Amino acid sequence: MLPGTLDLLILKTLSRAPLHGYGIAQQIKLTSDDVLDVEEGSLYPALQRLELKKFVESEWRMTPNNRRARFYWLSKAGRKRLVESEDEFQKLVGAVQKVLRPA
Amino acid sequence: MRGFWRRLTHLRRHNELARRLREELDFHTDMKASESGRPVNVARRDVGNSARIMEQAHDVWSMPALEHIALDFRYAWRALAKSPAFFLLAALGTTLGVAALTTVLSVASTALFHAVPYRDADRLVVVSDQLLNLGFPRFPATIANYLDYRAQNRVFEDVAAFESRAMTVATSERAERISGMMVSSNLLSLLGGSMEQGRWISSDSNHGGHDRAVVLGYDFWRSRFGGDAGAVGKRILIDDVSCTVIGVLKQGFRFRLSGEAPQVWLPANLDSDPARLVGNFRLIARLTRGVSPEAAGAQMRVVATVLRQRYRTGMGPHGEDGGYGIAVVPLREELYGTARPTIYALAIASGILLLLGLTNTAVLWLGRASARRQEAGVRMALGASRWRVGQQLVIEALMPALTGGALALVLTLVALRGLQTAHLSEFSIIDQFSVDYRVFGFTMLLSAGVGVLSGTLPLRSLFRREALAQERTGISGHGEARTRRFLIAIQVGLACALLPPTVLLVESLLALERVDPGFRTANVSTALVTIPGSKYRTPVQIAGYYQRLESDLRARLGGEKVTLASQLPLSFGAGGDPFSIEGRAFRASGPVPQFAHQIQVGDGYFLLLRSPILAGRVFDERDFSSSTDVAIVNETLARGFWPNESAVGKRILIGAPRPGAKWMEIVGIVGDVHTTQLSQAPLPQIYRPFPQAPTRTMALVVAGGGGIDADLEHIVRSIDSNVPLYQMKSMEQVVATSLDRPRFRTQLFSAYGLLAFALAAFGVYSLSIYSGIRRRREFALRTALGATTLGLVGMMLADTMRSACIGAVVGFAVAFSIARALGAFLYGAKPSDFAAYAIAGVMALSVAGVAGFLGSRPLMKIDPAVVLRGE
Repeated sequence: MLPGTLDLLILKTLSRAPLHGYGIAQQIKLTSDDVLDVEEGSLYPALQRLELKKFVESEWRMTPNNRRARFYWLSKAGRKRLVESEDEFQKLVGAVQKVLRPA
Repeated sequence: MRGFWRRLTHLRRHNELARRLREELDFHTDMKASESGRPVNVARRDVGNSARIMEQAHDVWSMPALEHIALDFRYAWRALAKSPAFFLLAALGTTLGVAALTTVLSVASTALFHAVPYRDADRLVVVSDQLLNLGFPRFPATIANYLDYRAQNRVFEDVAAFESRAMTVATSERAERISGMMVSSNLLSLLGGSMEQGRWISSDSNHGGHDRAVVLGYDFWRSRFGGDAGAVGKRILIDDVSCTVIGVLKQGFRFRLSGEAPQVWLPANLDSDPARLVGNFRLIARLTRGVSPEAAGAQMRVVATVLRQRYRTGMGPHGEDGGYGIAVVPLREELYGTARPTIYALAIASGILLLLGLTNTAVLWLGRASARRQEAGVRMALGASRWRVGQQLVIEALMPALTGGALALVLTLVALRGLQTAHLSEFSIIDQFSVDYRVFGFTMLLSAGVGVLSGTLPLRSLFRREALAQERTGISGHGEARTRRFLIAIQVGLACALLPPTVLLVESLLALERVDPGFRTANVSTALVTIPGSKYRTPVQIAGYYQRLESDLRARLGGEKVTLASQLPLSFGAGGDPFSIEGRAFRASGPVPQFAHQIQVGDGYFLLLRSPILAGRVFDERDFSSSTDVAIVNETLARGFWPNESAVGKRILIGAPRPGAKWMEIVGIVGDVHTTQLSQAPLPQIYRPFPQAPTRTMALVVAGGGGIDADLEHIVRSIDSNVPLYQMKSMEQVVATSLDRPRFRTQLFSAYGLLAFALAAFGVYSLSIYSGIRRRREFALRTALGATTLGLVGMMLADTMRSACIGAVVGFAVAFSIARALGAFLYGAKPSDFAAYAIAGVMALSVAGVAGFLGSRPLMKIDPAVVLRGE
């Protein structure tokens, strides 16, 4: 995965709905047709980092199965950050494609 | 930065966050298990090492580096607390040097660079008259010269005149001598001082007669007026003249060139003096912006040439050219120039102490290296990263340096406070010594650096694989022997750099204490008396007072037990008064200069002080009751000017021959007395009966047990209650205080020398113990192959001594340069004095030898079978 991509994926996933950590991992896996498998060892530190930077907020909620889980959602700063990150990522992808395009 | 604070607050919530994360991970695992249908323990394996995830997450919101460092500090503290002796010694190695160097350089930077506590002080210069042909590099300026310098120079913004003077302040209960200053009105604005209350002296201040103005120094106002806010307008009796207080100076404002700082300030009489003879002033000037002291000096030399041609200024007492000139010296140089050699020598000595302390610390670390190597090795074997182990070792090495530094700062503050309260006259205008934190920072950096290097370098093999093999054989390498020799040479060398100067100073002090002052000191007391000039104007009145005092005292104590002198031995300045010899030309620079100290004495002076009369007679009744114009001279004067005949019967005169002057007949020759300092050869001395040239200040000299007591004081006050009796001292104290400075200097250097010596001895001792341990196997092997214990100890000793000798030679070169810097303070000893170096060399080498021998003693008990078998 490209550097910084995990944060972008998490932010994007959370922009649709508040989710717990497991849900985020599942969602990414699902949306990417099983291509992207986010490891727990990266996911939770990344969530901590995003929360520390105040891009996401979190609290304990009950799941539909009545279990306690930590839910995360985007903050205002997080939305702003998502837009910026998406732009950056598009630029990066565009640039990579330009390089790869046959001459 | 904000992130940093947030992390810090997270640090507090450590446990809460960890609990939260664990719950999240449990939830995650459960979900994974239920979704895939596999048991939880399998899913847990899938999720991976949860401890590791916790750790990584923890790193996100904590500051791992900071926490590790805190942990390492705690760890280092525990490790060092287990060997307090090592910790203390390693810390002290830093403390002594850092404290000494910081203190000395703080004083130096305060005195030499900062604390001339006046506005724009670098533009202040002292303007001094000189009469170089007559031997006066500084000569007081007359009013006429002062007025001319002010008018004719183009290099000064302003020039102020002042004269330090002891004054009598009398209240109804007591009379007391204090220091005061007579000043021109522009002095305060020139220096940039300001008033606490009231106003400063104005240019039209009344300087004579009654109702003079006086300005009080802050301290005097506090002590004498209790800080009275309404002090202005009050009256105070100074030298028997009633003065009105017009103002009080701000706290901390002090000014003087030498001696004590004045407590009261009075307007000087600066009315023009056509005869160009009156005045006893020193001058201070403020350079015009952009003019250097050298340029000002050049212009003042021109002024001097003009004045000399016009007025024959600076003519000697016999009409010869006195070599009149004007010197312009920066104020800072004038104030502290003489302290510079001492400060430099002390700075070098402190630097040496610092280096020695640091070398010692290095040696100590070396001694601990093997134990620490094992421990760190175990940690690395258990999986600690090199980086973490390295960081921990560095922090452990830093601890003693940091502790030592903190101690050093405390010591420095205490020392500087001590200096401040010691009231050394050199520093009397300095309000406060401040710690020079640049020096402190630098020495701390150095100590920390040396601590880290010496704490880690011996362990560098840990980070190098191939070293392990060597480790296991237990045979130390060549590089280690080199390090050891180098450390021994440095330690002995540094000690040897300090020892000879110390020996020289001690020799000088002993020589000074052996000098015969030329008078009796046992059982003699002295005190000074000054009578006010307003009441006792004429010589007859002055003489009358003292004759009465003398006879009253004699009636009380007995004839031979009391006498008077215009000035006590060992209290004169360097220069003397020029005198003339009947029928001869003046000779300013002969083998004995034609300048004399003049002492007016009472009846029985020579008898009481047991100064031997070598020829002629002492003064008798007649000389004291009528004007017989007689003098007694000392041996130096008699021999110097009449080497081949007797001086008795010859006639001399103070000053130049002039019409109407009364020549004095020499009636006796007395043994030399030290009038200035024990270290200086006696000048010519001329004694006269006091009524023939009475002075307002006289010293009482009393023999016998009682000394100067309340009874005597009562007698003095019963004649005139406005006369102060002050500076009561025994003659032994007079001699002892004249040696205060040399003694202090010697003690200071001895302390340095001894410390250096002890440090070096300790260093050599620990080095040889250390190398003994390191070379156990080698020696066991040698013993097994037939070497004797004696031979081995001899070999080690020879090795130590060779390095010590090399160190000593280099050290002596440094010692010589220190001794040369101290040259002015040596008496009866030269910087190149062979004996001092020989003594120092023998001391240093024998101590190194003993320390080395003691260190190698454990080697004698080596049993090769045990050592070689034990892996």
